[in-house]
Amino acid sequence: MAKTYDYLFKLLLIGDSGVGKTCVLFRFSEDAFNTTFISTIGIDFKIRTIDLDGKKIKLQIWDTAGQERFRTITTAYYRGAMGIMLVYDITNEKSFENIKNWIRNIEENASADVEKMLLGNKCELEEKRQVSKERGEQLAVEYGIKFIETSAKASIRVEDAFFTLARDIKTKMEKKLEASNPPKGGHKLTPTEPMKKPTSWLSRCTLL
Amino acid sequence: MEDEFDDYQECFSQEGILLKEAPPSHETYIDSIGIIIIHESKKDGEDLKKFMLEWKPNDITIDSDVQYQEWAVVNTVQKRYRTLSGTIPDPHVKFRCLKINFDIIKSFKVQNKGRQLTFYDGSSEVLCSFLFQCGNCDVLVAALKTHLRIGTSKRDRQLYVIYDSDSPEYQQLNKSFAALNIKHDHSLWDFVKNIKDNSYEGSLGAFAKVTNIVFSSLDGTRYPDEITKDDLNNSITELGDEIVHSMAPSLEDGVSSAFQLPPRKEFVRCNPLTEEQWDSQLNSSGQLEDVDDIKMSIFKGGVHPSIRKEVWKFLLDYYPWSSTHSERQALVKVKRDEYYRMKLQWKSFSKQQENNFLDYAQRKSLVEKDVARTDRTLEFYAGDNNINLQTLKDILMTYVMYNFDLGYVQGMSDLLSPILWLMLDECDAFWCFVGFMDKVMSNFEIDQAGMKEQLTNLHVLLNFVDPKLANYLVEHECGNMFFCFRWLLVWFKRELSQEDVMRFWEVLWTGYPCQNFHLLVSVAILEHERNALMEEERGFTEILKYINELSGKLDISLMICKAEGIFHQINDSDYLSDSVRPILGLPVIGTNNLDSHEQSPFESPDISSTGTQPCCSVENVRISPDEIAYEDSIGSNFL
Ligand SMILES: Nc1nc2c(ncn2[C@@H]2O[C@H](COP(=O)(O)OP(=O)(O)O)[C@@H](O)[C@H]2O)c(=O)[nH]1
Ligand SMILES: [Mg+2]
Repeated sequence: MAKTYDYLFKLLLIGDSGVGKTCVLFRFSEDAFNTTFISTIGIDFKIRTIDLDGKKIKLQIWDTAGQERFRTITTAYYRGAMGIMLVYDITNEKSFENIKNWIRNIEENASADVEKMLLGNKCELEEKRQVSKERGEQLAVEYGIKFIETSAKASIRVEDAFFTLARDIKTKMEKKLEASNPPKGGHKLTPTEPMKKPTSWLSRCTLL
Repeated sequence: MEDEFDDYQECFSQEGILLKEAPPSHETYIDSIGIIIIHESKKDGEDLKKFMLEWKPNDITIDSDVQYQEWAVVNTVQKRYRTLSGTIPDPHVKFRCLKINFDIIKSFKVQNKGRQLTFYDGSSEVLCSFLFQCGNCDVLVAALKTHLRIGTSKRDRQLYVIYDSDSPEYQQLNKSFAALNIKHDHSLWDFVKNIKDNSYEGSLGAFAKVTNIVFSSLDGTRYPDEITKDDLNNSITELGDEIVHSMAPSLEDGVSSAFQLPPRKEFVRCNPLTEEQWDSQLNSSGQLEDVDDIKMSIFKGGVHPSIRKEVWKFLLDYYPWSSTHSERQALVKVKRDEYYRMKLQWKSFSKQQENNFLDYAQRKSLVEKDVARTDRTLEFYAGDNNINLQTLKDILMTYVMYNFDLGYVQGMSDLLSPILWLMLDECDAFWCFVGFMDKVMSNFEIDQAGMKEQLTNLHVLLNFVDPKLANYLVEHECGNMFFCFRWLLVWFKRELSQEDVMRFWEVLWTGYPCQNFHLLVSVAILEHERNALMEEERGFTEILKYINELSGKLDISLMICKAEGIFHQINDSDYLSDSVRPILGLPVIGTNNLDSHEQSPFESPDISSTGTQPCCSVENVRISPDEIAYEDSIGSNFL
């Protein structure tokens, strides 16, 4: 099968229920907003392939259910994620406070070098704002991650957010590839590529 | 051996294992179900670690949580006490465990399609023999292979020989391991010891971790460069099949042909229960004459929409089935008062109270967010400031007061929505919703134990009906059945139209033909989609996507018919084991039936079910060194 992309990045959206994760993803993947959206149960993902500095990057973006109780299932999906969008709602103080918990959750369940980014959504609701932009920025600095305020509804900077995260992952990855091995021709494989012979992994494990 | 035992630590265990043969000291435990544990010596002799096999009967440890390594509970809320979990200490444990040092075990044999494992001593006498009640011994054998020097007999691939550490074969293998430089990776061992039971969940997690470890071991980063990855792929491709076959010769075809279900009968849906039928069942005082008959009719064809509103009140245990007309009138009065009293409790909270009651405020905000996202495409709930949304919210909030421990959990609004749509009455809808919640409560509990159990049970049932598909899912990182989470949490609410979901739920509420019928419907769907699922080596991602996209495309009537057929196949099966029975609420009948399952007509049983005969002849076991196909090629292929 011919590959239609150079890299496959697995990204994850996490944050409290109702902050707009599904809407942000819908905005990015379909460029639309729908107020009749249903809440997310379990987990789903969407795909969008973007062009970045001449490379085709397939983004596989996972959307999770936000309620605490379902973290047991959703954290199972942290594995293998290369980038994580931490989303809060600028009109909801609590969702911002919870970012700390989400970060702890990532630290416990995702790989240590996963790229993270902080997203303050619903930024068009200026009159309802509870979390100032400065506080968002400050928190991002604290964790050494990037920060963007977005609106899925008004389509503000959603593209920016995903492109920024994708670019950071790409840079990091290429640096690593160069360090371990000078670039060669042919396609590159990423760890999240579907395994063609999973049974062999099983057998391998029994032999080691 | 008892004293020595203290120097050992557990490194592997598997549950659901029936003792079939044992030394005289443990004969009383033959036919008991228990757990196998492998212990390793704590002393850091590195290469010369000692191992010990232990089997102990079940009633010592009932820990429902250990198998769910993937489900580490991360919530901060205190777990509710569950009577079934936890370890019950038993002072007599030591006397009941069967323990054998691997110094004594010289070989072992896999039989009955991997369902039976027998250990032999140096003179080829049977030490002990086990039946694997659900699944097979693959994981255990794999774990043994990781730690002991094991080869197979060329003549009998089912027979494994354990080498002494000074044998030349062992030395050679050791060298290749050293070159690989990952032998002493403890994380690797950690996951092997985490493989629990046949719970595919455990193994799934483990396999996934292997890939991570392999990546990180090889180049120290999460992004392996292409050379490493290609090399890895090549060596794996070359070796893959061979290894799988030598490790578990029956993995592919064995499972599926181990036994066969009786032929599936065709079922059709009948006409829905009509108003006339219903009325004819009511006697002069308004009591139903033959409740079972009514339930059976509903199971076979559902309820006609004209009487649905009334019938659901019975199905959802708002009205007792045996009640008279006047009793129901009285009940409604009482329940109405009760409802509005509870509603008033939260409605009369002041803003100040709410601010001081964070737990409550959070629930309220969650309810509001979800109500705004519930069935908004239905006319009934569409538009801004919709009065029905307000009612939806009021009912859910009152339920929070009614069951504060459980509170509001996402998915509940989905369950309430069709009920309110049908009842058009806040109070009736509330009590019907309470009845529904009572049936599915465990799906929403804080530790998610109910969901874990359902997903596990779904896999057990699938494995019984379509072992090939079940096995495929395990091999493709889907053994935990997470991709069916949404189906089971809200009983297919998100997969079906409003009309279909109502027809489906009323069938399920009857409790016919067995409990957990929705799991059989899930099995029917998976089986129906099996070709698509197994197409092009679909993996976890593709399978999840495929299943999610089935939403809106399911022919639920057909699936109910298929599921009914599957139920009768299972129920009529000669090989129905006790691992399947309780899931469907069928009586557990002890281990005798299991034996007939193990000794299916498709192969000649070489172990007598009475356990008095020697397991197999001496000639079968004794092998000369030149027959041994030692698997050192494995190591060198990675060099
Ligand atoms: N005003 C506004 N509302 C939004 C925005 N994004 C999402 N929402 C609304 O917030 C609610 C929750 O959104 P959703 O994407 O389902 O949240 P999730 O639970 O994080 O996936 C929905 O009612 C959306 O309509 C936004 O950018 N602006
Ligand atoms: Mg969502």
